[in-house]
Amino acid sequence: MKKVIAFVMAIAMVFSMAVTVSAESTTTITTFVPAATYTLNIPADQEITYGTTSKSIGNVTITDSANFADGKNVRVKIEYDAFKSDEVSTKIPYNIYASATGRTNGGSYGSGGSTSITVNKPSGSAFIFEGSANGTCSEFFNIEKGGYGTDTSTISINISIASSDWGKALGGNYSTTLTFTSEIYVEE
Amino acid sequence: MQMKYTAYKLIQFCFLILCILSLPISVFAQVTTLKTNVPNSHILHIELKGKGTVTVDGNTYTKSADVQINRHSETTISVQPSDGYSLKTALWNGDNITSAVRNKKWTSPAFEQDSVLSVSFERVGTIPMTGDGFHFLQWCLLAVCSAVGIGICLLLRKRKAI
Repeated sequence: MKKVIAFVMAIAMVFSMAVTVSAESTTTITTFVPAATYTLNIPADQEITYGTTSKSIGNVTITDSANFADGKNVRVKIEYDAFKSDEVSTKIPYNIYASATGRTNGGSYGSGGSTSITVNKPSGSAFIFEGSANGTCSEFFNIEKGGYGTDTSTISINISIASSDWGKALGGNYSTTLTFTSEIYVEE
Repeated sequence: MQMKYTAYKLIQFCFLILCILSLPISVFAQVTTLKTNVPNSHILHIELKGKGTVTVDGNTYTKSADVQINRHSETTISVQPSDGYSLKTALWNGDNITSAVRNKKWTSPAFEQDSVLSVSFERVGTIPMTGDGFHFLQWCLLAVCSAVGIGICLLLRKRKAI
């Protein structure tokens, strides 16, 4: 009887001891990254008059952009080949170039002037539209890295054809396609 | 049994297509088409001044005219002044080709665009004069009339004096 009582008292003593071990607490934070969206606008289909050596064909722009960020940009690749005809064998090669009016630095003498910017765009090259922290993407592509700014209203995509290439072409109807392929990429 | 197998394969294929189509696509392509027409012929505009003719492709012109020429063809042009006239100048798209005209003939370069041939004829032996173009005979007649007039005046004076 005494042994039983002693055993029970020992067990009671063990259970009455204060336990001071504490457990870890966690907080989980979640977020959702929505896909960036935009609308790509390219030059319209059009006719090039025979003999034209240089002509603006429009512009490439991005509108209705959302969910972008600094370093999250849109790259638009342009691919093209010479004018070809189903009627004759001759081809008419051409080049695409971007042009704009840029600003020059006035230095210590006051406001700067303007300068003409021309950038050749061979087939396979790309136009870069930069994303910004406010969530949008630039409407106009970056024609010139650095510099003192560009008058975006003057940005234009142009076609140039050598007069001698026009001269070599046989009579007939010709056509060519400019393919603009856009994708979102993140700067490293 | 075979039909069941075929149906099974068809279902698998459709499922695969569905999986591919549901993959998120982030690359978009758009196309701009440019067209142009290269003409099969061009217009030769002939400008003629003075008296003479210009012959192109067997057709003779006595005054200014527009002639259709096949693209890339070279055309021999004949320049024939009228009697008493000679070729003064011949211009091809503004360039002076007078010295290139041999035996009243000249061959154009291959036509690649509309072009202008300006031909000017002048009277042979004409002495350039400034002012009016009063003829020598008329000057002689005037001189004779003046002499007669002066003679009459002198005669009348003499009679008065007598």
